[in-house]
Amino acid sequence: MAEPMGFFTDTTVCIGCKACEVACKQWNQLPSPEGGANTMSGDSYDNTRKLDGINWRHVKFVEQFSEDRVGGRWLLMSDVCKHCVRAGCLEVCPTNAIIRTEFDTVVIQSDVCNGCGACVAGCPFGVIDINPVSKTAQKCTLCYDRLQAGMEPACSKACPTDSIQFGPVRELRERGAKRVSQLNDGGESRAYLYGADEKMLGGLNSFFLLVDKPEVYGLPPDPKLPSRNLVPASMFSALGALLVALIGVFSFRERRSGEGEDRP
Amino acid sequence: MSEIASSTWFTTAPHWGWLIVFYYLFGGLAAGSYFIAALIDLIGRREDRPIARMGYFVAIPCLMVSGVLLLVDLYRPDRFWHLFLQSNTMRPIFQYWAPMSIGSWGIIVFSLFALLSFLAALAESRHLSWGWAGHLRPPSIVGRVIAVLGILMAMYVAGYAGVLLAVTNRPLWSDTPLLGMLLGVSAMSISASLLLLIARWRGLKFPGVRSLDRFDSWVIGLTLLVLVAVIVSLGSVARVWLSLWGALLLVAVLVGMIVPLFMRWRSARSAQTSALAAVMVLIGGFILRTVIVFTQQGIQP
Amino acid sequence: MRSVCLASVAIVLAACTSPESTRTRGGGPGADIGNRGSEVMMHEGSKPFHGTPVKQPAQPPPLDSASQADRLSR
Repeated sequence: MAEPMGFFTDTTVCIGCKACEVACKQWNQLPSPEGGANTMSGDSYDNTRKLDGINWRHVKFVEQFSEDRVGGRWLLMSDVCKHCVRAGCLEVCPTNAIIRTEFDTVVIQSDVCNGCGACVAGCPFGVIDINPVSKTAQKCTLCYDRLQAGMEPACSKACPTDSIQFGPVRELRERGAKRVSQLNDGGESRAYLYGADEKMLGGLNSFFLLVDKPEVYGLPPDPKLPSRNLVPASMFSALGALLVALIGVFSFRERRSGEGEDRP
Repeated sequence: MSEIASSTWFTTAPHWGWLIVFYYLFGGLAAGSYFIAALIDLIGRREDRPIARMGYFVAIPCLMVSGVLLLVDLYRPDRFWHLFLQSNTMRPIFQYWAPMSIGSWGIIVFSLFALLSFLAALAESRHLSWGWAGHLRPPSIVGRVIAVLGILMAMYVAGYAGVLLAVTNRPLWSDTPLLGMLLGVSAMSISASLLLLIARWRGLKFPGVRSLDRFDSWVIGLTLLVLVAVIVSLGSVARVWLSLWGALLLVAVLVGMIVPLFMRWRSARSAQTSALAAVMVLIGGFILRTVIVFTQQGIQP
Repeated sequence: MRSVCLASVAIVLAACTSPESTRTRGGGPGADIGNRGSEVMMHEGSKPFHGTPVKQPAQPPPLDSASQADRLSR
């Protein structure tokens, strides 16, 4: 087994060029939405809007400006599948289409998936959706095919500012910690790593350096596994069944005659 | 962005829409009808056996509709068998931690029991000349075993659907562990109403018809309690219902629970009132399922 | 007796949790039960011009020089 590999995305150096989106689409030969029709969001330079079956990289534009547009800043973040150490999509997949590779990444096998949608609802980050060509669930593969050939993923290769860095997770975490202390020393005290340690789903193999609350970037502050509800929900369902069975026994058991007559 | 009620706000809605609403309706009716039928068979009066037979007759068509709905809801229906066999290794697949996996097997096993009881009911009503099939229903030993196991599977099928919703990361669904209980209990009440309606329509006068009425009223009361518990357990997430969906939920509660209860309480022995109340419970059950499935769809990152 | 019951309930509950919920980084397959062939297929959805309207005939006649290049390259 190879070492766990991942991405470290330093959002403070992202310039929003979307080279990663383009490189991802090119390598994976993904189609445009609506057959290439010109679809503008109308309120942002972000026209991709979300990760889904045909967008496996998405540069988020967070435009924090005051009403009079005098003060403000751009927060740019290239979002991607987090390749969670404890993956919500993988555990709810009923066909085992979603597998864990030797690089500790999470990959959907497009020839196994039957498009049931469980992983779409199970992903804590809203990364997965149905690809309209294959009609199966798809997402970032962390370029599993390139990794097997000893190459780095297309997006990190294309990133001109090294906002996206690829490598062994152990190494990336050290690099991330160093960058946070560098920013802190330089006066940017808000910088922190999102998902680098084990607290979040056992660790995210693609983690981020952020300078605001996660929800500002559209990331959940406290992502959890879907299976957290399995035992309590089953217990309550069983309790409900038990109560109904009791009512049933009292309603249908044999009674004295003459009690069940209808009024005409 | 205003403050976020839950981390579930950042997830994507699966494409589960009307097909799933109707599946929850027909799957619930199949499970509930079987449950009531087998319970009457096991502990009820002998003269109520025709009602039980009716339940078995209802369960099979409802199950067939459910199966078709689930199949069509897959984006790749041609690969439905991947739920039962690993497509690469050809070994059976059963993941006890994934509700979609255990649910698929559960429906198959329940269908088997429902089919056996259906055959027995056919044999008893002389639509089928296989004499042995009659023994697949109580009071024979084999029939008792089938009914008990079938009841367990019916309760399982009625309840797993809501557990499936809980084992996701969507708002509302995964913010309470009680939806399985709500859908399961409600399945029993809509099934009792359906059987009651058929019985009233056919003019049946068995004492069991009154029992169905009483059973339904108690279960509706229980459904109301569970719904209150759902809203309490949601906490601040309950604000998703400060919307049209919430208004629709109110309609479901009034039409499907409070008004029928009131009607039955006011004129307990009138056949017409009882039939009308049953229709309202069915409509309310449908609206309740619509609200549960669709409320989360508008919430996207 | 009560402790035995409690312990068995606890064991059943523990057995019901997903293998994914206790996984650590690099710590084995988790909930992946190994349904894969020798080659992992990922790109069934690869069709760059999916849904793009065709405004010219799908296959224009190749230019002379291009057809020669095509012939020579075979």
